[in-house]
Amino acid sequence: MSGGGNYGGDGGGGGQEDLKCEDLRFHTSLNSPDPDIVTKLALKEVLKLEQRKEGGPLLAITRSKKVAGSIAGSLLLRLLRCIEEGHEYEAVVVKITGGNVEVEVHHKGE
Amino acid sequence: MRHKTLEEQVLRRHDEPTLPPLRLPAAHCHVLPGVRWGRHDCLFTPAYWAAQAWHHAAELTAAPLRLGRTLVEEVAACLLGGHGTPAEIGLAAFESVRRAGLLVSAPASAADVEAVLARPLLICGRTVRYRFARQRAIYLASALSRLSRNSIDSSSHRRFRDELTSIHGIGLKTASWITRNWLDSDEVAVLDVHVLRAGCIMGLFPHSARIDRDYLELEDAYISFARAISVRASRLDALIWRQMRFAGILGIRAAARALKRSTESDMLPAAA
Repeated sequence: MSGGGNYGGDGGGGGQEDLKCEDLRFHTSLNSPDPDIVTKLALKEVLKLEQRKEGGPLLAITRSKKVAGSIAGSLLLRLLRCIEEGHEYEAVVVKITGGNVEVEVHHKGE
Repeated sequence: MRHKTLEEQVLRRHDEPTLPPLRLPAAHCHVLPGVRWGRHDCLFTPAYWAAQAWHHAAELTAAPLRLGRTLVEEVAACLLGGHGTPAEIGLAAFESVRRAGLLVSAPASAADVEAVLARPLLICGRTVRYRFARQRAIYLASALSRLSRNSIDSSSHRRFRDELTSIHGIGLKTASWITRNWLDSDEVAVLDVHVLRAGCIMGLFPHSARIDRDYLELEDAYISFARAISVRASRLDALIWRQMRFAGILGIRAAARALKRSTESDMLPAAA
């Protein structure tokens, strides 16, 4: 479906369409990190990414099933489209600075 | 612990740590009467769009929206990319007409335009045909004739847009599209099915809204929204269009959920 046009030059803030789901990998900071959970996180810990409610946030969940935070940012839509298509992703803790948790999101099975 | 919806939303750019954070009101707060901000980490809420505009700010501000080098070319590009025409095909058809020299000097006839539009187009290795060649050729020839007779006063963007709608085949949406692109205008909205869907999901537009019937009211609501989230209307509708188009089934499902919520709240008994 085209929905008619609305394009203009190269504007539109996107470029997500070109990324293959298998190649989707990016660093980001956990959104709204739970301070109580963050204190217990370790470097290289693998967090499961899960949307517990349709339309809800994409949560980063610890092995003990606690919500560490959520994933947001410029690639959120691409990530959710890929998950919708059956791809799975995880977030690995790469840095913890105070209450800020940096993770690498990548395709599972890499 | 404080509920997430009660907290101010603070966004930081991971790739630009020195950039000041974007601060958005708490999810439960209203951005406009009847429309809550929602969470920026949930798709298609007002906060999501504000966040996405912030994330993509460099692209949105740097990229000009114009498709053509002249107003005539802009009108041609938008006319040929109208309803029912995928973006890639519309652009290819425009390039075809431009390369054929039909957009310079004396206005081309509908027959000349149709002859060019009838030629197969090569897009990403596939040969496709431009639909509505005859109809769009008539519209484009009419537009070329009109534009060759008088210029259109651009001192008022809305009047510029309205003047364009006097051209046969150019409705409010195409006229708004031309105006937005050519004048870099934030005074008009380019409303199509994708922007409509986004507006309905947010509760900005009623679910009964129809673009063909309610364009001006929807446009006013949309422009108020753009101002409320401090994003240029011209960039916001391009962003929304691109992302909603890409979202596909995710957008359709979000719209269905929003309709269900709206229906359920309509069915609640009125307070005594």
